[in-house]
Amino acid sequence: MKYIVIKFLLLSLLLLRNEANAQVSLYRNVLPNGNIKKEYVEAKNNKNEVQVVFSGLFLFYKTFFSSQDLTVCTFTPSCSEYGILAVKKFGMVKGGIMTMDRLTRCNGLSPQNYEFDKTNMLLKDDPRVIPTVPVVSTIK
Amino acid sequence: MRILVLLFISFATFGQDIFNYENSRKYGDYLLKSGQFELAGKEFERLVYFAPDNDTLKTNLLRAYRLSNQTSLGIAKLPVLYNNPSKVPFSSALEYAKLQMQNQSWSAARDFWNQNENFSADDKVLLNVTSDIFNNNFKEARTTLALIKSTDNELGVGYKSILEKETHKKSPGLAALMSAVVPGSGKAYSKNWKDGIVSLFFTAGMAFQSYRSFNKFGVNNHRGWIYGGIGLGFYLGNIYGGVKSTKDFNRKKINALQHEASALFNTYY
Amino acid sequence: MKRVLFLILITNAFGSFGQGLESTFRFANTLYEQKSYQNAVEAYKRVLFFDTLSVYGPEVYPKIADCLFSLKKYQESASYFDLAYFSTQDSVLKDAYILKKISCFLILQQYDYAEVELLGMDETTDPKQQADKDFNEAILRFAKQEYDLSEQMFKKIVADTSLVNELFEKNKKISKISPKKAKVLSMIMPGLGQLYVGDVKNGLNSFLLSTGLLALGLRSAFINNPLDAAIATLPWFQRYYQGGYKKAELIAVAKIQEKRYKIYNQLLDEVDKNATLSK
Repeated sequence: MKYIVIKFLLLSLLLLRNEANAQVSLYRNVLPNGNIKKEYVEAKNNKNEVQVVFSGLFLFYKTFFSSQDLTVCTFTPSCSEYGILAVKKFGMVKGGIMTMDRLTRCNGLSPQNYEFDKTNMLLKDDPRVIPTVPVVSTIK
Repeated sequence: MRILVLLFISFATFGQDIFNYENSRKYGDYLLKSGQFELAGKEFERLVYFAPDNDTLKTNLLRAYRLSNQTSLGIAKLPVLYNNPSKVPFSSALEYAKLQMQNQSWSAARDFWNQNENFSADDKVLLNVTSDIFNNNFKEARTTLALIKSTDNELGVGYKSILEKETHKKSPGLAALMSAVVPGSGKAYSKNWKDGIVSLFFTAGMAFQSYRSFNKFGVNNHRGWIYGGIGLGFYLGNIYGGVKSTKDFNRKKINALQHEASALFNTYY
Repeated sequence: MKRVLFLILITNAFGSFGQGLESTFRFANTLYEQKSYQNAVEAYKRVLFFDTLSVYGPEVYPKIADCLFSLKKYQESASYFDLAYFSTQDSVLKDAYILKKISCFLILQQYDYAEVELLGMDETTDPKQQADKDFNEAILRFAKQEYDLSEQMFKKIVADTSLVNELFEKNKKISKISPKKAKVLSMIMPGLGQLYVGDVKNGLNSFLLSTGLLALGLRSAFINNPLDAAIATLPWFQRYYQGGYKKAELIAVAKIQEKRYKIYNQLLDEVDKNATLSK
């Protein structure tokens, strides 16, 4: 009997604790947690060997070179991300040529040609996006 | 007698049910007007269930789906609302056509409005011209627009002036040729001369380095080949870039016209 | 006769915000109690629309705000708490709504808005509300880096003040890490600043990259000619050298944030324990 009562008390204490946790846990992330590690989704979901090799190169560049670099690219996605995305979508030859072209365009001299991303103050240039004009108004 | 009247009124108001047809309709209209399109969709689903023969409600349901960007849901809804797609009444049919156009499923959209009986011949012409303009098919658009019966139709007149504005484009082939001869000139041709100069600089720089390395270290040394390889990459990239820049140049001109067409379309329909 | 008329008018008045409205409101309340918050919000919004006499407002606004809070839509929730605040005259309720609004702003990391609300709040007589207010203020001061004020507030809430003292002592040590110093150290020798903050991986990486490029440049300067070497390697060296010391500063800032986050969460653990004990 005593055992049961003690067990019950302990359990109820645990439950109470959970409830209190719910109150305070809302405030756990009020401060920035200082995590500056990035995750590169571009290098995931590789479909063939070529993609695996290029993703490996991309990750190598990102971890050992780009991590020590300033944000020098004027675009979002950056040139290396553009490269891996283009190779994945258009294959090694066309993707590679597109990336070479992109490297020459990455000069910041003609911002009028691109849309502007306000969140990170960079120009938008994504190899996957085909620009279209919406036909139908979205407000009426 | 007066008491009876008062009693009647009080009972009448007592029975007010905010989920009945009248009130739901009021609320649905309010949701649609205030921009809460997803909630409006749910409301009109219920209303259409209440009154399965009301076309205004069906139109509003389709509109709620379109404005809340649930285009595929809306498109799947039409066969449930109407048995025969060729007999869909005008307002619902127009809303459905808009849904299809927003979803960019052009061939399905064309099939739908061409077989519908409630669109007039002129409506069909105008919708076909719209689809041609947005598919970048201006030649087809001109021949289709010539079929219109009422020549003073405002949308028809507007489209006509847009089609006339479509002037001669720059040729991507020429840009490729120019880029192949002088790197960067293809980009300069489509008025991106800054990018063109950078292209020229990169390609020429690499070619020069490669030439120097071959001269100095001979053909068996790796340096010349590396510089040459990168240079070749920049050269090919420059040809691609010239074509792309020219296509972008053309696209921007056409996009401006398409924006104009979209504004006209949205004021007319 | 007059009495009968009066009765009828009264039923009439009740009738006009009739059964449907009342039952919908009750339905929304049960949804709310069953924690089906999205559906509850929809039902409450319907009540608000048909509530032509604006009687349900004071009850519905805080409920919608609570639902949105539970749905983690904090920005919308804050604006509904605002509506709730203006719909009531009761000062205790008003304070409760302001406190919830402060919570929203804190979670959204909009510290300045939270501070404005906190300063606009009157003295409360309710002890639980006072405790809530102190808790919010403790968090806010910590987030705004006013650590002395924050310490005072945490001491009010946590019974074991020696622990709080200890944690704030640790917190003071964090302030000694200087991003500027990390930057200067990395300028003197690439990677040193990163090592100073404790990031060995990036320190080594930066050191190897910069010195490697420098060595490559020097080697080619001796073997070939200096101009050629400078053209080939200097731009790259400059890029990674400059990148290295600027990154050192950023890494230092992030490190400080990480350590503060840890201390802050330990403080919250203490508050949590206290809350359990007081219950």
